[in-house]
Amino acid sequence: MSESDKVTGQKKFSSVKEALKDIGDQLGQIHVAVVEEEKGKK
Amino acid sequence: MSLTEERPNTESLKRKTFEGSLHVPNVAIFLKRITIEFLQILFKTRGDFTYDSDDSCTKIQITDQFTVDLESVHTRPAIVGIRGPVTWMNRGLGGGSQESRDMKTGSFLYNDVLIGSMAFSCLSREGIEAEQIAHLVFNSFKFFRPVLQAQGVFHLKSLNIGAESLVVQEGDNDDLHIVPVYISAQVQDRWRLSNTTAQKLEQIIIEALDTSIS
Repeated sequence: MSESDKVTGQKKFSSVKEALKDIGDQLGQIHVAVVEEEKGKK
Repeated sequence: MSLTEERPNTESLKRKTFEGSLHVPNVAIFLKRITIEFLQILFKTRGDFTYDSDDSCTKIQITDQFTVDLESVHTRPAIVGIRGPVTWMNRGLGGGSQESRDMKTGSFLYNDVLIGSMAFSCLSREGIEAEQIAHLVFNSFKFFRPVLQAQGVFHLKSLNIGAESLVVQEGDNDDLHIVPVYISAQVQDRWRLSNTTAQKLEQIIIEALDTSIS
């Protein structure tokens, strides 16, 4: 599991796959925000 | 199974690869392929982080998350593409995406915009190098946006650089630093529904029913 460094706030992972999965999750959140913004313009 | 077509349907919009100018009907594959190909071509021209399609010569890996060689990321930096969701926007009057109707045949032409997202994880043993690669990726999309638009990307909606994160693996002496770049892009899609399609579908259903009876 990822843990956040309490001093720097930097995320730490124990494997590359885990880090890539987290980036994929972040991407999902950004995507939802972009779609919501675009739908708001309709 | 071929994912590209030499000659696209005249009604479909052009979504071309850089290499071979092949039409990619699948929007999700198009978005992933065009962005990774775009970065590979740009990094081929660089003096530092020079990309080469030969794995033994390249100074940087630029690839998809499912084909990345995780062993070699400790010896050379990498840009790993991750495709996110693709969303149908359901545009047009009444959300029907309708573009036009042919009064002679009764067929409808539809046109819509899809939004797709990609992340590029820039990996390096050095944090500052990962940041620098992310900066290059970010600027490449910002500066050369018209090049992507000429290949069939309708519009780049958002472009972000994420925070640096750290990978500390047990048994490895070197830590890995990752800086992600997120992009969201609109891609246009067009399709026709005509009576021919309906007749064919009816024929398939009747044939399927016949098969089930016999």
